[in-house]
Amino acid sequence: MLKFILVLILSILAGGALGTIFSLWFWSKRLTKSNILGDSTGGFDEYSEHPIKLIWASSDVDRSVMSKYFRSFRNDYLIPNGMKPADYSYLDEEFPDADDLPDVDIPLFKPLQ
Amino acid sequence: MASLCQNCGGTLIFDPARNKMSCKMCGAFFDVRDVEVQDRTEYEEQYMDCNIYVCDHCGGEIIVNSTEVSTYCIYCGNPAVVFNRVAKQRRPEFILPFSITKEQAVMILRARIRKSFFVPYHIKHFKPEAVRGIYIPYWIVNAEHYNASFIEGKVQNGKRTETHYYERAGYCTFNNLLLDASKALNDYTSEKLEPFDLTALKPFNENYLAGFYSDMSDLNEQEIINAANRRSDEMFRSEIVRDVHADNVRIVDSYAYTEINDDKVYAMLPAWFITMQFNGEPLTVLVNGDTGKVVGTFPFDKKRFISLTGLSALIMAAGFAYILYHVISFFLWMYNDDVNPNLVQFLVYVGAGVSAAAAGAINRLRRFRDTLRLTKSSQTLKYVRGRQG
Repeated sequence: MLKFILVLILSILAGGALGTIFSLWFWSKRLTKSNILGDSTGGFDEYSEHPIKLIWASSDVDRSVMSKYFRSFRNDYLIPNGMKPADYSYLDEEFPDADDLPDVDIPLFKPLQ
Repeated sequence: MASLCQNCGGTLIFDPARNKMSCKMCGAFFDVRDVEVQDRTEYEEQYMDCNIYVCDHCGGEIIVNSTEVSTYCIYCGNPAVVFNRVAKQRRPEFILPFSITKEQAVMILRARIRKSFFVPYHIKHFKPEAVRGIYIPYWIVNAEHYNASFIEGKVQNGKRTETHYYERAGYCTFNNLLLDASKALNDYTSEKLEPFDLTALKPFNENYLAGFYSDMSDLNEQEIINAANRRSDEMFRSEIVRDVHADNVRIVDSYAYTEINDDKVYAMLPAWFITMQFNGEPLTVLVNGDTGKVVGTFPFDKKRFISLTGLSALIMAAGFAYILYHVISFFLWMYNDDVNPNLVQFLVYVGAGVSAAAAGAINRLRRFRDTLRLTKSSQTLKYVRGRQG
């Protein structure tokens, strides 16, 4: 008897959750279709006559190489091909060593009198 | 602007139904090319001096050629217009004239929402507060886009799901890419107005603006490049994910670079902005002035939505409970009342299905809320009220 009641309660709870969520899923789909008008925009096929030409493809890489990959794309492909991409901060350009910089011996501004 | 009728001196406006200039006073029609436009120097071909008047009655700005004087508002007919300032505007190279009239735009909208199941009755029978035809400035560019995308995907390995990462770098060319050149209008809204029939573009002629509101580009060169880069990056990302054979593929990040060709053109494209009130809140819906595409999100009939969702939830819940009761009882009977791994696996699958459906429903409702915000947006309303020319 206890088993019957437990199974019944479990079925009602799980069935209720399933029913509520699938009902919401179904009607939310109908709602967006009904009330959002013109929900589309020109995509890749409208604006590009040719498919993407791949320069580089690699699979199963490590997550940690992302910054290095972007930096390599910028420095080893874009710049050698004459392009001038913006210097995004996440590319982590290294600061030059102090030895590489000229000495600053002439103050740029006069001290206030 | 404000070209005058050769017969009676009345103000001419462009009539989309006839594709001609029409005089509201004497009813005469003129071909757009026949209405006088002065010979211009090369500099004048690129820029036009505009006198900006403000109408005391409707508050609109009236942009008039430097050689003309506005004596009354060409929209509300009020003579109380006050000179405000002189502005030099870049002359657009092309214009796509309105081919849909104001009446047709309202009719298209009514027909479209009549079929919408969850749109409230009051909206279906709306009375427009304002219907304004606005020429939106666009840059049309050809661009070379270079992109390095870092992609994540899920791969099934036996019973385990593994996350894999992929690198894809490539380039492509985009032709006739449309970039909304007005900062005031949300790009998300203007992009949805596409497509426009660019083969019907005509060389710019101020006469097409008569009777409509218009706006001018307020993007500088770098902002145009940024807009092209953002748009191209989005399209590249949506396409490159197809190259990865995995589940739940998404772009983690991308490095995008776009070069715009020198042949970019500045054009004016038409849209009707229809404003209505619902529960004290303004709703602004756009209708493409060329194709009639309707863009906007409407509030929903809450009573109908809740009662339908609730009723079907009850029916589905009863059905699912019945099925689950028998399935669980079957498993318990099969394995002599032991909680066996197959039953647990079954319940895990059910849980996964529920979670996916819940996530889908929540995402859809969130998107609905976000797009509704745009339709209710005071920014869009301000754009409509602020434009005139």
